[in-house]
Amino acid sequence: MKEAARALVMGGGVSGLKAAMDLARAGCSVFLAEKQAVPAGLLLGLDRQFPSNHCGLCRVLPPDPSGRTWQACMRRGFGHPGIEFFPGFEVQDIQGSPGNMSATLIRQTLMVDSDKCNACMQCVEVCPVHMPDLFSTGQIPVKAISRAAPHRPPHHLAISLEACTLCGRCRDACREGAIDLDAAREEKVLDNLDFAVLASGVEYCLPEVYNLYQSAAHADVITTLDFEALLSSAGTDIMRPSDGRPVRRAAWVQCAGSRSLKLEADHCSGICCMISLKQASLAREKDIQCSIFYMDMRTSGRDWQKYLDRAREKGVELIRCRPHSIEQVPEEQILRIPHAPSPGNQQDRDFDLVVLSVGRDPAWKPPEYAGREGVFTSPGSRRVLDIARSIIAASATAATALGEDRQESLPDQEAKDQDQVHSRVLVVGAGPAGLSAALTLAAGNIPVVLVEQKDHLGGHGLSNISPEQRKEVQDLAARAMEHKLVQVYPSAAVISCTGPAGGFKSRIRDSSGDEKEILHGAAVLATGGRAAPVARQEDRTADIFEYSRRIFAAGNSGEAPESVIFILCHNTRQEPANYCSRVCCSLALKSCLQTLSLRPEAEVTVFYRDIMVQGDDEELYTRARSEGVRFIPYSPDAPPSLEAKDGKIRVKGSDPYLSEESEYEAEQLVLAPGVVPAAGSEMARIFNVHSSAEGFLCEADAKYRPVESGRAGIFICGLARNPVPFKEAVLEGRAAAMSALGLLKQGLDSRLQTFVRVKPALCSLCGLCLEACPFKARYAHEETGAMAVDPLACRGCGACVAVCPNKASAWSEQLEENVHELN
Amino acid sequence: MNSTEVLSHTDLSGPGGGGNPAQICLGCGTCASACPMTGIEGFDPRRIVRLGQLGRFEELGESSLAWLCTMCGRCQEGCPMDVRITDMIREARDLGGEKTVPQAIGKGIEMFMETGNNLGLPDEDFGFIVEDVAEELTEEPGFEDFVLPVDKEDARLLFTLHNKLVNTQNEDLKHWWKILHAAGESWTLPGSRWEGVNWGFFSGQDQVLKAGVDTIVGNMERLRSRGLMYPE
Amino acid sequence: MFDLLVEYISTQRIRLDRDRIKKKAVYHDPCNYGRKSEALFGHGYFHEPRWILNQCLEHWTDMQPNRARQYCCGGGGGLMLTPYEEQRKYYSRRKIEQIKNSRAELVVVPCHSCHGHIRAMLDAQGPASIEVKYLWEVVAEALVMD
Repeated sequence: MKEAARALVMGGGVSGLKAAMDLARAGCSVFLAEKQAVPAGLLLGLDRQFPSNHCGLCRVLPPDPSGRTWQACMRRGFGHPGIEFFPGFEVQDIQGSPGNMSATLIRQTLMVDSDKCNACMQCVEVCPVHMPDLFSTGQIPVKAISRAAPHRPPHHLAISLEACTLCGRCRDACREGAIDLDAAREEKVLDNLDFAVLASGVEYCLPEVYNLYQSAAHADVITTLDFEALLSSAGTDIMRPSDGRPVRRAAWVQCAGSRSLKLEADHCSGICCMISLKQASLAREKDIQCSIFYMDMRTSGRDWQKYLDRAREKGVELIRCRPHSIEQVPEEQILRIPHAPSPGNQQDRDFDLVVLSVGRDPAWKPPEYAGREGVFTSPGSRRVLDIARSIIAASATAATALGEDRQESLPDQEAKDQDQVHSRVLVVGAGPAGLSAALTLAAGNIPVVLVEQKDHLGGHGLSNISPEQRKEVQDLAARAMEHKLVQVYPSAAVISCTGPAGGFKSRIRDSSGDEKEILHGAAVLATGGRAAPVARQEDRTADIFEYSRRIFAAGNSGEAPESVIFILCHNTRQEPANYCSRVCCSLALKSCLQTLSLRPEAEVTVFYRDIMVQGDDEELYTRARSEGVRFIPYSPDAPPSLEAKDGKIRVKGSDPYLSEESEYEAEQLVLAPGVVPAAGSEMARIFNVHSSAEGFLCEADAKYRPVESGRAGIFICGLARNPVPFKEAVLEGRAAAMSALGLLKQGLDSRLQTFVRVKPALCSLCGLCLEACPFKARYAHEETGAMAVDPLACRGCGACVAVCPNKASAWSEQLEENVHELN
Repeated sequence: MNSTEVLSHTDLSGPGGGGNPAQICLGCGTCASACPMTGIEGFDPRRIVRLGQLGRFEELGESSLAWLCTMCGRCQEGCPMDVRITDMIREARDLGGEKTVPQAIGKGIEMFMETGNNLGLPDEDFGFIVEDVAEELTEEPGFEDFVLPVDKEDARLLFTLHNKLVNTQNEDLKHWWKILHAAGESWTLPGSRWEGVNWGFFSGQDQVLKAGVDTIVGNMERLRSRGLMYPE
Repeated sequence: MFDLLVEYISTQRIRLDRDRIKKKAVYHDPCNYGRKSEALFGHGYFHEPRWILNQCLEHWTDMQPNRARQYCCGGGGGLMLTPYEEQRKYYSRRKIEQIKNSRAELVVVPCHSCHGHIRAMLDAQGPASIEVKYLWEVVAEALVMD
């Protein structure tokens, strides 16, 4: 194998950090460029994140018992032995071809020498350039030279070169000589790069640019990013930017700068609904009256609908109406929003503060080099993603880059099963996620055992309505069958798994009842999902999956019914299946369009609660409407009622815009009951990991360790973990593989370093430590029954040390001193 | 009649292109928030758009919805989907038929088609009224030499009038006359067919709209005026 | 019409005295000249009337909201000629509120229809003491005749 690949990662936000660390763990030498003075990107300004309502950025750091990674808040800084970090630099251009690329980095932020600076602030005083704060969208003006980040000490100053005119006044004012303006023109050229990963995210919409709600004229009309800044600096109250009075009533206005053809912004940013819900929930804690103006509440993640319910319980008011304008009531310093919460009903509501929920800038485009060969662009640099999806996308992009880079080199056949760590990985489930995981691992020279319940590979991917995606799955399946490092067990199931990470022992049973034991270092669970069952009154009812398959089956020569009614969120997004399945809305819209393309005169009616398309899929919704699909919203308290009569389906529902109860007749009824995990609870039992009430496998941390289960060495992805569309299942599979790969590589290096050891002479085998460990790092040795510590899982939290009545669980010697120091 | 047929004689093509442009409506409520009429007797622009989507224009024209709209365009200005709501209103008013047109407007249109002004005022009486006001104006200081240029040929500007100035608010005729006099403008007032108000715009009747425009163009040609001053 | 007045004033074909009208005025953007003109012809007459007012008056103000987002007087679209009087009053509450909030004693409008309707609504729901004038009426009053 050739020597370590040289990889450039662009963007030091959570995506870039994750990609860089994954690549470093996989053995690359990594260069990380970030244009700001400090890492963390957007998260610098986000103190609290949904759904936990606190920060957890540090959890993205790999467990590193060697202590080589800077195990601290990454909003303050970042250090990693395998990563050369270039804060303040942005990649201007990339030249050359993979394997021999060169990148030019130019300075965007100039750091003041913090060793010399004494925080006298004379430089800030004399700086003539005022600019919007990078950590809000401009409500808090700062100077071109200012604090590097809100969390940094006052002597950590930085100069934004986008704004700086290099007038030199700050340098002249500095008596310590801490400012070197000559460094502003500093350039760096990185040569011999094998590949680059673009993970610098997207630009957010600035309302002033688009004159949204005349925000420039009202100091108290701010954006969600500004609100984060207000929230960070808030004490008991949140203060208004205009007059510093405490905010008592606040409004959030969704879709500012999106879902508009006028703004050429026919997209949804996908996370703004959740951000507003979070902000309003937090504001409720300060006894602020909170109202959110929305069109569709897009709570389209596994736990997001429940988060919405909690927000409502806290008293957050949801008003389904997009306001036309925000009016200033003269002399009263009140912002008034006339709105029509239901047809034929207009009200005015007064607020002290209005927050525009902004997403991707409609005019934003990724940099020109994003599409170049050898530059791998994370999906998070094409559209807005939430933290977990950003991390998954970044990991998966790193995996893809690594895989392609390695295609040229021969697989390393050297046996890895040395000592007690097995490098083999067990992958359970061979759908899009499982196959992607298996092939990513195999590309990283990790042998894979792939177990699939069915007699063929591909899972639901084979019945995908898109011919391209079907082909992609068939290719993955064929490659998995052929790959030397992938051992496939079709028609088989895993029945048990014991042991610690690095030394798992699992039993597989095939259809004939034969059992086999395999040793593996890690496992990826990708057991997928299936359509939730629907009660069928008769054969004119289909679920959305059946109907879409049928209507797309014959391509453009198929037949479509003359009338079809869709009912979305059928018995879902409410208890006991209180989550959005994320695939039904897009599938329904595609099916509507296909129906109309086969039969242009067909009458297509859709009853919906919230249309949950995201990103550019918004265009599907716009197209479906413009082609004549009739959309009728309904509330879960009054769903449309169904009746079958004379070979036709009758649906009674009311069109709120007409305030009339109507009966709709159709030849075909299509229900969207959502998806359920296929084998979640069983997998949870066999692999001893957590699962949700609905049977989805749960992560260690929903934001920052999305593909890691609570048990070290067990990774989860795809529909088994949460409802995902095809493309995301593939990304999750790759991301899970990347984490498994990293764990095994790192495990091989540092397995001897442990935080906690057990003194067998003192141990009474009471087992309290097993229960106390939040990381499932404590286990009873299979043969001897002795209490043991899994070094790969242990984080050194000390819970077992504290709970042990015999002092048998103890800190390892080298750690003991440090622990006392900390105390 | 289906909606596409209804819309075919007025170009209402929205940004979605083709089909019924009202269909692209997002139901977001921007229009209903914008419209001061929302809320009385169930009035709501979303209702108008929904009826339009379903091609129920005649029903819309016959309901009070169509005539409660002031066509101010605030709904349309805010509409993120660029649905042309006021154009739909015109369409619906036309299709609602003559019986739904409010009496005052119907009467005015009838008069206009007959006499060239919405009041049905004979040219003789018009001449008397304006000359009388012109006479009064010459009594004010600075305007002693004011002469009302009725049917003057080759003037730079032809002036039309709002009928209410001739009807009840004669005093208000003087403001413009004063300005034109002070500026030494070359202008003229047509002695007949002087109406500047075009109620075909309200009723949705394109033939009335066209007749109004024809009247003005006819006057301009007759008097060889170079420009038009149309303060309505 | 705006263009003509701007032409007269800027080329000094007419001269104006800014001190004659003492009342505090407020300007109303008619839908047709502003918002609808902008949508149909690509130019809304927002700036011109304000410039003209600056030449005629010392004290005037804008309504909130104004320009493209302004509220209609409530008489447009032929509504003034319909028997829907109660509905018109309901509609015009926004305009009346705007006028009251401006604390002006004089409303300046460049539209016959708006003039008639605002006058009628002020008379019907008060305050009737507020005057309504045409923009050209204000120009005519400020005219300096030699």
